[in-house]
Amino acid sequence: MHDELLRYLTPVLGEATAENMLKHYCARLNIPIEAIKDTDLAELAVSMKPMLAVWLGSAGAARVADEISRLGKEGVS
Amino acid sequence: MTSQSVKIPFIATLFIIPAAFVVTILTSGNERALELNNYLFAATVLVQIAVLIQAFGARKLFSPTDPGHLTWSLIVAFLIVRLLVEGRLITLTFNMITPPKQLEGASPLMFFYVVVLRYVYTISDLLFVAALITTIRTYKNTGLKFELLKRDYVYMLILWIIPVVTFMFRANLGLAGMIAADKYIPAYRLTAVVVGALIASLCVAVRRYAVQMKGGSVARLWNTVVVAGTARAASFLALALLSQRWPLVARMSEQYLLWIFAGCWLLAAIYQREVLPRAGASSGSTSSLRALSR
Repeated sequence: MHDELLRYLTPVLGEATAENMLKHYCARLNIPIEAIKDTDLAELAVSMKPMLAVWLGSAGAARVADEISRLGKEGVS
Repeated sequence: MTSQSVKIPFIATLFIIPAAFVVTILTSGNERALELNNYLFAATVLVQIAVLIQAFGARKLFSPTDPGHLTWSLIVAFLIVRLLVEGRLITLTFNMITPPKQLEGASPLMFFYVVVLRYVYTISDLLFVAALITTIRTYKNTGLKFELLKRDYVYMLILWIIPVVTFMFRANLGLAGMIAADKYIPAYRLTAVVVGALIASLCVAVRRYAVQMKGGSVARLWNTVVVAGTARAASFLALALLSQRWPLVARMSEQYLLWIFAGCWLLAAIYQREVLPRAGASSGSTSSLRALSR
């Protein structure tokens, strides 16, 4: 799931920022970064929203967060 | 308007414009080349109108509580103020208003219009500076690792050589420009080049943070703003260095760099709008992010 999330965020935020952001929020939520589960995604998405809003605006951040949460519900194909 | 529909024609103009200048000088002489330069100025103003429209759209992406809202509000203000003062330059360039040769004998209103109002460019540049400062602050406030390197400070130091060089060549500053130069113009151009150095220094910082993102559409947007800012600063340097020996080349170089400035701003504003695919492109699931990650 970590790689999937990185693949989603990198085209927008860049490789380094996407990685650093995931590390930052996984540490904050005590989620092991290499073992992010589908069930963690909703919580991770909500906490990442303010930082996403910095670059994407609130509406864009809400969209990305929503799409990340849905990943958890739908599973990654 | 999409970035793809703008980028290729814009890059093409970067080759076509210098070629057109060379051909015009060789076949029709300097006067026609200066005319061509005036048309390029008019085209640059039109591009800036398009930039303003796109910048309004980019600003709308942010709610008033987002840091990006302040940044784009400052960019919109910078563009509006700049366009207002470009209107003044159009009236002078295309002889809609003809100032007397000796401005000392001009009416106070004419003096104000020709000499004082040119400092409105400085006000617009300061709004650009404010936008860059808010961008830098936004990056720092994320708490992620965005840091300047030692060599960035060296670049900044080198950039501050530009105003020094301009000051040393200050005798050139009144020699060339879009309109007939007056004795007050060197002071304005020295002011402008100092503000230009400030813009370029801040661009070095923004560029470093964008590089540290390691790609992505956000970095692409800010890299484009950096090119715009650098072109603006370089336009004054070109004028200062080339005016005495090659006045025609100085004017053309200045206008060419301002064309790059306007084109890059247009691309930057469109890139901001394209940071995420349109909501309509998503079918309500993860499709837009999936599209990006392909």
